[in-house]
Amino acid sequence: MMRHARPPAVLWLSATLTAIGVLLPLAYLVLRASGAGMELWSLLFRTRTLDILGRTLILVIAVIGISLAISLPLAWLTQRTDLPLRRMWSILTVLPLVIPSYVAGFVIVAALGPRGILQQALAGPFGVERLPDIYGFPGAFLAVTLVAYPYILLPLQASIRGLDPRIEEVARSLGHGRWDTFRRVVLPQLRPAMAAGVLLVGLYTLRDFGAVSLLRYETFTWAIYLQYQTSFDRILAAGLSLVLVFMALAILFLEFHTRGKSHYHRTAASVSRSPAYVKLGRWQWPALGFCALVVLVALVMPVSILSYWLVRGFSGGGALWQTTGYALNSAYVSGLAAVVTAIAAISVAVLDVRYPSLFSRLLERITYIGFALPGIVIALALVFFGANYATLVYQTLALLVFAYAVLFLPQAVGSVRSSLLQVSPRLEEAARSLGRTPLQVLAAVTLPLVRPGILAGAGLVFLTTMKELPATLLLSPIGFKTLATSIWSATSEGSFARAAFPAVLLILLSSVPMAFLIVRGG
Amino acid sequence: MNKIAVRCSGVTKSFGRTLAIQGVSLELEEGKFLALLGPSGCGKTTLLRLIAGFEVPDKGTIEIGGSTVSGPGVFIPPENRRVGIVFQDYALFPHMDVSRNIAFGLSKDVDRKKRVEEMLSLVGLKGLQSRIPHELSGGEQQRVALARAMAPGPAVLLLDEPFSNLDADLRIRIRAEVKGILTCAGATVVFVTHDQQEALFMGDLVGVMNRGRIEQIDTPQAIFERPATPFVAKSIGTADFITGTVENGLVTTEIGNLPVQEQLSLGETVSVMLRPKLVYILPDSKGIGIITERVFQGSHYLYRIQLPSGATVRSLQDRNCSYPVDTRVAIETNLDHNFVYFQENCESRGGPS
Repeated sequence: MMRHARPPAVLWLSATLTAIGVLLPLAYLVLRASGAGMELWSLLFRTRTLDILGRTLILVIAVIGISLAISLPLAWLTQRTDLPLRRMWSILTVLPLVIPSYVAGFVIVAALGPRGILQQALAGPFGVERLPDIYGFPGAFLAVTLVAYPYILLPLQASIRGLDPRIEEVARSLGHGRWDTFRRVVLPQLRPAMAAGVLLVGLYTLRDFGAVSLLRYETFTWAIYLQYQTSFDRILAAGLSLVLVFMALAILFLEFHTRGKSHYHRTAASVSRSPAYVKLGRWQWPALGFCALVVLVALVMPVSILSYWLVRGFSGGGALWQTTGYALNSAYVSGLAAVVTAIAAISVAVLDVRYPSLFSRLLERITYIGFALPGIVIALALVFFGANYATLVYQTLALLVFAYAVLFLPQAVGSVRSSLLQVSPRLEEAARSLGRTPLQVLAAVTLPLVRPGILAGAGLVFLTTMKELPATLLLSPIGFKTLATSIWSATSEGSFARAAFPAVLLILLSSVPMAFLIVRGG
Repeated sequence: MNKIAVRCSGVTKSFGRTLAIQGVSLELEEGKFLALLGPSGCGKTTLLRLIAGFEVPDKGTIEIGGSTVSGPGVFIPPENRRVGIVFQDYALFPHMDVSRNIAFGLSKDVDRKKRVEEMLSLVGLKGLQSRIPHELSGGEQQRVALARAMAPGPAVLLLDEPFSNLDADLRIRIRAEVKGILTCAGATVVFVTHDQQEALFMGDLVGVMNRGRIEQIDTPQAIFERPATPFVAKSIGTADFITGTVENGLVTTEIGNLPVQEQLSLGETVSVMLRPKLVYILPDSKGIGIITERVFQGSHYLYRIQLPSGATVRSLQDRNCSYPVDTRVAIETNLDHNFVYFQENCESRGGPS
């Protein structure tokens, strides 16, 4: 609007309140932990904490490593070779993205755990009573990888698609062989996408609660939950949470850093023709086998296991009505979260884009803290805070919705912001010169024009809220169950048949917009 | 004398350390067109935005229709200034049709429908009222933008590079149409352009801007004949400069002695402005100039001639005076002409009064 004008009071007031709200949980944790002083340090430096740190790092590194090993060949095969059914493979291999990690955890336990499908199948003919233990690292590793690797695959696919084939042709014409060209010309160009993907997967693994809790692998999130559950030791839980936040911030910082440096441009504005596809020849069969294996493990297996338990659940007269109730609860609370978050996001984004100043930039940056805060940390902070200072909202939906807003505000702000950046400030100035006040302009011109961005942001928040587990688990009012919490508790109790229907429902609900995204981004 | 519609006095504005506008003063009578002409970055758009109220001046006052809108302790926001603005990209509201765009600035108590009808017929867009902006051609969009800005009856209409988004051949036709519409409506107009043809065609007054200052503001004729600075001379029309020395009521230059109308102090070094039309050339093996470039312009040739000092001048010749490059030529000028002289500090001296 105006480079040097003051924003309307309503706007900066609401944006400031939003930023304060976002800071509240973290500030409370810091306060809590620092209150303990030396006691906290001695608690944290016990070997148990180091064990947790070690387990967390091992899981993060292992998941990143295997995800890269899967994604790099997949992306190249589906984008640059004459692999049969390229397009189908490239879509199918990304699809596991829609599976929440606790559903992956459910699938692993229900398939390979005690009284799982494999054990039951082997029990009859072979009398197998026990399988090698799936709990701990192997199960958690498998479950997290199943749902996290697409975060590397997606940016890699896009990056390979965007490569200018002429650069490779130049390298070939300068006397470099195919492998040499790949190593010296293609791979460096893919580095930014790989770095972004690796960091995303790292953050995902670090924050994950669903899979590690169901598979009982004690990383930070699970340890924090146990601490909260068993001893209610606030200081240690707060301390562990801060360590986790610190690690997540480090990853975010790295991500920010690499994004700033990665400016690779095409030599020309557009690629006039499609690249020459590499002929696989005899290698076609191993390549197909590889793609099929990934799809089999990451997509076909989860779907079949879910279907199996779904049928078992229905034939056993599973509580259909109950699940419908959970679904309605999920939709209701997600809808509330979407509306609240979108409104908060509008004020922050408008202030940042239209009234740029150090202050508005700061507010905008603060809202991104939600990216670094694992759900379990927010939930824990709010449980303590609510029980002590805000008993009125403790155990109400209001506090839960607040937690969702803190967690998912970045998505909504990002969406509104990018849509706002496409609206020319000239439009708002024209409206001002035609006699409208800044707030009237916001209502008559700006908001109608950024409506797609607001809706997309709200939609995104709705979907992520539907899938959110740890905050829902800790902050839901007593008796308020959602799809996510019902899947988790049914799986923890080993009643797979009860978990299957809500899991399928959740995946279906969240995969519709996902499919839309993939088809459009195709 | 008509009432003053816009008055700026000593307006100064900086962005951080960049001085965008330095002490600009101007007056514009009602019903007149002022063209702000200058290269990009000269501050002309900033001046327009200061008048509109999208920027707050650091110093100086701005009056619109007799009341102060920006000044010490006063800042009227844009919505209360009675200005209409048309942006370079028109900034039509994409989510509203033509008539809702035009009606946007109308208050509740006017007959909106009637006013929209009036504006549509004024800009010649009857029948297009329910189109949405992206269904219109560039020229039509511009006329909607004009209608929208004029509908509330602003005290002054501000146009920011209004024709630069149009194709070259369309531009000449559209600017004639726009001038007709605005004159017909009796509008007071300030518009910004970097195209001297546009400024000369549209402006009753032209303000030539350079580095945040208005170097000269006057009628186009006066500016052409008596530019205040070499920069202004080059902005309106084509001009070359050669150096001379004042001796005995004459200015001695390498192309001969030129008359002086006003007192210039003896021995002073000045530069003389030469328009191509005033420079005559004739092939002469003993001449002092050499043709370095010849551009065919249809009815004329434009020659560039290098002088012994290294300075170059341009000469406009009839199409039958065709000389090849490298021809040595003698140079003459019309001694009856009132030459414009600039001192080293760029102040204009002499010329017709």
